[in-house]
Amino acid sequence: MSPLFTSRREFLQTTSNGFGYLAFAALAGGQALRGAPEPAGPLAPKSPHFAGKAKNVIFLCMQGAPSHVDTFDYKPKLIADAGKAAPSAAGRYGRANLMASPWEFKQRGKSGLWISDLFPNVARHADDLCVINSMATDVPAHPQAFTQLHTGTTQFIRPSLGAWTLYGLGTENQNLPGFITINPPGNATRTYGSAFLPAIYQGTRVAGSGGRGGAFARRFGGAPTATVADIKNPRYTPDAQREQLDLIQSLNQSRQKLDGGVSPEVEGVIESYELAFRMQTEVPNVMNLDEESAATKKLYGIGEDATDGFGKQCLMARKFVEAGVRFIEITHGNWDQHFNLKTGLENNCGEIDTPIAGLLADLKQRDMLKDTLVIWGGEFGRTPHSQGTDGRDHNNKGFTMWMAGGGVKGGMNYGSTDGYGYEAVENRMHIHDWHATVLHLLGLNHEKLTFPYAGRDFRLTDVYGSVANEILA
Amino acid sequence: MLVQQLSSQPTPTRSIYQPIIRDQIPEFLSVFDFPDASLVNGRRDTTNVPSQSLFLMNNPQAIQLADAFARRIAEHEGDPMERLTHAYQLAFSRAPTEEEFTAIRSFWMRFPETVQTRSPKHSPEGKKEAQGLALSAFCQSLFASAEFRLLN
Repeated sequence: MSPLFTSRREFLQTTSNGFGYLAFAALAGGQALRGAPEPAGPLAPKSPHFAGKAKNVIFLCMQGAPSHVDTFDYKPKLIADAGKAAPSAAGRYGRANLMASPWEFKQRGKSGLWISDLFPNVARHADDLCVINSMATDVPAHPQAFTQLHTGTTQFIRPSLGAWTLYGLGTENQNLPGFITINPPGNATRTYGSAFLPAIYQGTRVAGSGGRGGAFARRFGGAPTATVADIKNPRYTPDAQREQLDLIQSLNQSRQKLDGGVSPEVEGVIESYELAFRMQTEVPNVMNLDEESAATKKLYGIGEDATDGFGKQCLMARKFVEAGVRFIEITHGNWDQHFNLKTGLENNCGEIDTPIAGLLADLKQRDMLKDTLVIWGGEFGRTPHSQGTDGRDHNNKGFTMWMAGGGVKGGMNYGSTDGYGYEAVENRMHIHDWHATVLHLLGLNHEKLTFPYAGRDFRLTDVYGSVANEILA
Repeated sequence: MLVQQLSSQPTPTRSIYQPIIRDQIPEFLSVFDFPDASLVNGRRDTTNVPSQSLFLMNNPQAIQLADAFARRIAEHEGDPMERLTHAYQLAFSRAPTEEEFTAIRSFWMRFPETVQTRSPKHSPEGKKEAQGLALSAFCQSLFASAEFRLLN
């Protein structure tokens, strides 16, 4: 390949003008941009509708629907009536009998919340948990319910909870994405998509190399390979890339002059390159866990086989919150225990119990829990009756999620299911109500957070949703 | 297989129409405001966000296309000035201004010195490699510039 100029000397010889400093004047203009960015534009922090206690959200999303009657919804009647025919009957595969939880429940903390032995470490934070036992969603099928959990609708493409949050509040650190989703299911882009909201509000994936989901994401337990797409140049060092970027910015400055000196579009491009260049340093810095103390790593279960992957993700989430990222979601799968409940559920809980307890303890000791809303839950729950001998079927009528910090009351149960844990009967909290409540905790009125699309104003909660005032601290 | 072909295999041809698989939007399109394929969309967003800049700076596809453009420029007959002008004509349908030329020269002074090469830096092979990389980086800069990215 013969290059543009065979040598610098030839280059200089073929140029007619002197050794001007014009370029450097342009570069100096570029230099000024390398300082702290002016927070402006669609991602700049915005005032909420009213003062909300939660500034950030960490959503621990349990894909596959964890069983509530084996974890956070204590049902003595289910134990007493185990083996009897289920009253509302109807497992999908014929007659079904009630199945007691194989795990023992105990009262925890001063509040005496009932939590099973699957979560011995999370249970130590019982007095910080607001356990919502009366969750409900429309459809007992994973794709629809998982979509509704994130967007409010089972069937349409709509912006996700994280995207609405970012749209409503902006984000504190302009050098990092405002909505980060760690390990999202490969086929579930709609759970972090912005749909009709401007694309800048969509979640940024942190997943296996190349940002892909699927098989990469499933194996991503080890976390060190996880990255943000295109965050590192595969060819040039940062120094060389800075030289290239200086050229790009000079060309942009020149373009702006040709346009008469002022061009918001070109100015936007210039700023976006400087931001991207800073992100290249900042994102890996935040994701690098090496600087964390051995004690902190141990707290999250990092280094233990079962808990290493999720522990790293939880620690990363804390660092993202510290760095000013508005909304972080971590997906953990797979909780779909139609069979093999006993080992499957125990393994899953074993992977997350220590990391979540560590996250809560760490947030608390850093005084961050008061304005960080931590959410745990999946798209629905499971039936009190058995499927086969060692499994439970889907249950959308009643299930449990819990929240901690960020302006929710601790040490309380909200709502309840019937005696067996089949259907929410008291203070039923549909996904719409839950969305309304989460937005409220962030200082956003779910009826006022709207965006015009296709001729009308859209909301996360559509025409539904009421805030559960009882759980507000 | 088809999904792979459609989503991840760049082809060196321009496309006016391209089949889209709803949940397999190529990264190149999705990063530049490709509308959600499941929604009716009357007007495309025109955002300007760092993920686009990261794509143009770092994505292997962006670098490959710059390499291909660099090969084309290098094969162009004429002296360096004519090759530079040719690159500008192809990319922007105009000649570079004096100011742009100065910026490019400044880049050419510095970049080959900074860039890492496989062969020792001051060996003939190293110099040649650095020049080749500089040409590719220059071509990538044209693609990445505002003039190339914005229609008006």
